[in-house]
Amino acid sequence: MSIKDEFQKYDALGLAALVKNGDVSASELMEVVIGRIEKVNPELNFVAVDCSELGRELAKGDIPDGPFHGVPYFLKDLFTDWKGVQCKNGTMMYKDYVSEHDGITVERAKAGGFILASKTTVPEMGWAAAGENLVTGNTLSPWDVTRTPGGSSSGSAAAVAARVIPIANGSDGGGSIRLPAAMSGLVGLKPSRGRIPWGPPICDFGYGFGTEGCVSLTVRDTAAYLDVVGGSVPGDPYAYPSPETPFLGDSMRDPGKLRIGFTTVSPSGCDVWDDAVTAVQKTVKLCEDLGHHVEEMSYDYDFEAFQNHITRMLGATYSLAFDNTAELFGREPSGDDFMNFMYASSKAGKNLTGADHARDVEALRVFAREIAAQTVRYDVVITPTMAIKAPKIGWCNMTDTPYDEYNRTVLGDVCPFTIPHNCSGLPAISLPLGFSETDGLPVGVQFAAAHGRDGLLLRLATQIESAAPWIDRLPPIHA
Amino acid sequence: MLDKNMAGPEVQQGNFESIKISIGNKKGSNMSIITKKFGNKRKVKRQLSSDGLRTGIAAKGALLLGLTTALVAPEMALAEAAAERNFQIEEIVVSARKRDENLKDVPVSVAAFSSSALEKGRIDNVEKLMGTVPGLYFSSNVLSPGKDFVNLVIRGVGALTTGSPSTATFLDGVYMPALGFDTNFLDLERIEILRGPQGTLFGRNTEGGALNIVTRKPSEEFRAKVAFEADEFRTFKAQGMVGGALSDKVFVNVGGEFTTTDGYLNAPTISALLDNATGANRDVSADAWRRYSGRLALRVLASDDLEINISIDGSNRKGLDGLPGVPRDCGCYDVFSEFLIDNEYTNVGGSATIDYSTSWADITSITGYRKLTAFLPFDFDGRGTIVDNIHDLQTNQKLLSQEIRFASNNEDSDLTWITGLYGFKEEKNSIRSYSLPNLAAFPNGIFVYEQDQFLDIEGYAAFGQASYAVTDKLDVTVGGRYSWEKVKSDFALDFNIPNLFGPGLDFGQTGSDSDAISFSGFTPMASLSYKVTEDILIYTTFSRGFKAGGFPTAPVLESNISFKAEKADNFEIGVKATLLDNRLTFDFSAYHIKLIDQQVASIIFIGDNNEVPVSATSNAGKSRSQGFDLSVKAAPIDGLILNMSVGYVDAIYQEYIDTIGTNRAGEAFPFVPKWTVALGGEYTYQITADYDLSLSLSYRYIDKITSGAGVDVDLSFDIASYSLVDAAIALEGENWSLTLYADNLANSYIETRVFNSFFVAPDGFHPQSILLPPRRVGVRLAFEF
Repeated sequence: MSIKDEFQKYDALGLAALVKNGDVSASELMEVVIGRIEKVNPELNFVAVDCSELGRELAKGDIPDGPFHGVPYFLKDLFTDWKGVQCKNGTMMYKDYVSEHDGITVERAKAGGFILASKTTVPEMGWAAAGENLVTGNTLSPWDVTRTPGGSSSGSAAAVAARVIPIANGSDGGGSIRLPAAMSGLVGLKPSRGRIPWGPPICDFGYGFGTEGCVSLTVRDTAAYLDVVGGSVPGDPYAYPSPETPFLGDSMRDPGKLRIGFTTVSPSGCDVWDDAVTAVQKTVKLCEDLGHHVEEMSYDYDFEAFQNHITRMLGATYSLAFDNTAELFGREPSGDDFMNFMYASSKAGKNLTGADHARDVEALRVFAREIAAQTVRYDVVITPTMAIKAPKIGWCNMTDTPYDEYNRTVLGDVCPFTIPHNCSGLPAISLPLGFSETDGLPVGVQFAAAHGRDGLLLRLATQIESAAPWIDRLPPIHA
Repeated sequence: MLDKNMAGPEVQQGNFESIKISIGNKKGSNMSIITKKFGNKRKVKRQLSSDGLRTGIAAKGALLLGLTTALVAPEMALAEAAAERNFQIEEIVVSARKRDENLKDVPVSVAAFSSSALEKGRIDNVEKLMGTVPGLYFSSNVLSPGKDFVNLVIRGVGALTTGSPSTATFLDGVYMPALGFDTNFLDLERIEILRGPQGTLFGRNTEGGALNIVTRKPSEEFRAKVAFEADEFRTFKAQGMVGGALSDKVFVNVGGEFTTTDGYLNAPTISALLDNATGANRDVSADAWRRYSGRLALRVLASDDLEINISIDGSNRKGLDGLPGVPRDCGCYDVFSEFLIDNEYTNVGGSATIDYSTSWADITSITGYRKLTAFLPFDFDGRGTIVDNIHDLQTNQKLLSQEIRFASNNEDSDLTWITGLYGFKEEKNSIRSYSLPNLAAFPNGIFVYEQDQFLDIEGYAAFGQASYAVTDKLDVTVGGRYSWEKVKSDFALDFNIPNLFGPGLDFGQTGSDSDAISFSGFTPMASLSYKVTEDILIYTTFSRGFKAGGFPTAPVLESNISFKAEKADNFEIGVKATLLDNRLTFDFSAYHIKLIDQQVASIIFIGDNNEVPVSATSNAGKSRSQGFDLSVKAAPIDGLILNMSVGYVDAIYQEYIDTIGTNRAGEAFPFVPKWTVALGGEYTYQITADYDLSLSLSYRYIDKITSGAGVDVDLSFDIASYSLVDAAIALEGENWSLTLYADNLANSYIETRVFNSFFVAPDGFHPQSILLPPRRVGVRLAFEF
């Protein structure tokens, strides 16, 4: 058997089984993956930090006997510390920064058997739905190189979509796992708030908006990844207990008959891409055929107020990140260190008073309950993941687009379906259930459930994956 | 003034609303002419009715006199009419014997409601008739608390039935599948509730009786009506209809209705969920729904001998039904489910009726089609503290039928007869699935992915009935119907109880089954009626009802066994009287019904140790029901109408050992109130020549019943007797009326049946009550043109 030829037949758990069984060595697997990186990265630009030499070295050493034993690891380069490896955060000031410790996720990924192969590109500071920054440049979609693969887990999504690797780390503070998963044709789960810890030293992003996770080709890889990296640590702000049954095994169980609500109406009021509506409609039909009860629902809350609170809260958050960066490097950022948007965001954040910020945070917590309450009347709520198709490179970018317009567009048009669940803290998963024949682009459908019911989403996703498989749909550019 | 050469008016018999006058050569053309002349259609109508001119030859002469008076001196005539009006009891034409006859002349026990009675009583569906019609009630089933398993019961026949109803619903002579019992009453001529087996002329599934809904036929008279109604439950109803002539031979009626309501049940668990979000108090309804319905009717007088009536109608009701009910004994109107899912009912159908008169008979062909669906998912446990138990039952029923009748039309003959043929095809699909992960009895849950019963039924019948006037007073009627039905079952099952026999030892069944069985039966009738006087009729009748057997709705592989046909023999005596110049009417019938092989819902057990109960249908050996129906109406003083109805039903099993071996002989049928009593009165007072004030008050009493089969998990619950008082005050102008009403004036808390969420913690005893609304105050404004 040649793993080089048959690589695409396997998901990450499949590759790990090959290594465990001795069918292929970790080194052989690493070489194959490095070869695949070298084949398509020049076209897509998903590598933020080339870790191939480290990967080769690690592959020769002792590898923990985890579910991903010997699987090359693609780590999103956004505040994810792997000791001794650069962490650029898509930001000029960090371009030479080298992590001095392992983050919790990295420790767990290592224990799960992953071997670092690459750190993947992100937009500057992670705040964009497109992979754009001043350090590594634009990351392009393997489906259409004039478009973004989505963000902020841009490089991870591009690499997995191009079949360089079947799974890659990601994180999601407004849709940054689900949006690139939707734009790139992948599985993308944003777990429940408190399921996976951040840092250190960061232990929160955006008052629970952000969480780590992954993008993958199969649902079971995502389930196993959640088993590997999940579990809060003492003192976590949003700790959530891990289930007694591992997600991987649980995801194979029948979900039973579910009560599913669906809507294709954007809570922001923006128009929704026809192909996204069609994808939801087909998914609704599929769910009905699978025996679930599905009915139309709608969200009703003041999205404009919601959006304004988020803009200010994130402005303050980025202002803090700005200050932390200045403190870390011992100098104030200069004109070339950040893109225009980040300057404006930091400035807007600094203009807020403490009372303003407290009000925003509190208001968002109230919105969280509202959105959750409207969602959990159903076992699962289905929506489009994206209101628009994958944007062209340069559309609404952090250099040229005015600050207010950028925020309004990103929140109102790009992630009106995803960011509500960063606020609510509910788990949500995007599955590649649609395809735009017109644009040649995959279309994502989002499923959200009650807090802690990640397992339910994975069971439903497994059932749907079996009924409407997507694994064989390849982008034009692939390894 | 009218043309002096115009011929005198002729009267066609009809009720208050349906009265037609013909003046001149143009048949039925002239209510509108009169109205144009005198500008007051209503008063002329009143005069016609108040003079009591609708019955008999004597009345005909009186009409001539009355109308002539009106033509010559309208103001005087109208004044007289106003003084005299409304002191007689409305008479109704019924089609209980498939030909239009005056109610008082029909030797059948019939309760009939004209369109105005329906409107005044705010009776917009059959549920409102419970208690008002002696001997009428309904039955439910362990499988669902919803309307998908509610059946009408008359004189106790049909209680606890599972397959087909024993009291069928007919819309303009076309049989409606079972879900059609809840048909919205929209722009009707009248409804008739026929008690006792109607097997000879109405056919299948009429052992208990029949609900016969007669829609208003289009006519040359232009009619338009709009009505708006609102009540304190944020119910808003808008109705409209318009009808008239498209040409001198083609008439049309178009009507529609839209209703939306917030209902009277609350959903506190969901309210709390939303309230916890922001602290704002948000009331969430557990029974908010909306309904659209419409009807289009076309009538073509193709020639003097040929009339064609085509109608199509449809309705869609979507929303919450408050399922599975409120926790029993909570004294509340709260459905505590942690989720509520829309239920949806759709009812679409139509009919084409061709009436052709020959020299020897009237030939009638009726083609009918109806499609009904009900989707009723609900939270099985009805509690916010027990999550994730969903039960989903979808029912689809389709029916295509064809009847052809030949009826004698020689009015001078002592012999009248009617005969015909009938055929139908019906599809009855029950698609059931449920996911019950949180149960006490089965800690690992029960998961039923499909329990689907697809029944294809077809049947044919030939029938005939003849009446012979032995003397002027004595009529003899005999009739019979031969019916044949075939039922084919295609059944699919996939259910699983994980770890029932220990870890890893699942119990379940997956498979399918097909079976078919046919039934035939002869349903004769014989009746003697004697007119003691022109206004007093006594009669005695024997009639047989027949209901074919079939297959259970939600069986497992072991229990998909056909059950037998049911037969009812009804012996009845009755008297009808119209006394005191139509100021007092009296209708009494007493009956004894023998039921053989009564179809009853039950429970059987499967599994190695018989630990899994499943629903089934069995046949009770012998049963009987006996009792009486009494209706009295009186108009003691001008403007006052009083009515009283009493129904007494004593229905018991005589030979019945149920599926768990209990001898039920001597036990009363569930769902059958022994007594139903209704008392009511309406007083109309003329304020001025243009305005009337009408006051109405009604009282209904429904005796205690038991709800449930009383077999294992299908527990038997005692439902207390209850009373309902409804009141209304209406101001009526020339072409409008404004009504303020209060239903359930005493604000009584009324439970009508119980659904037990069997299997659910702590011990499978988890009853939910289905309630009637509390006091409901509303207002209705109607205009008629």
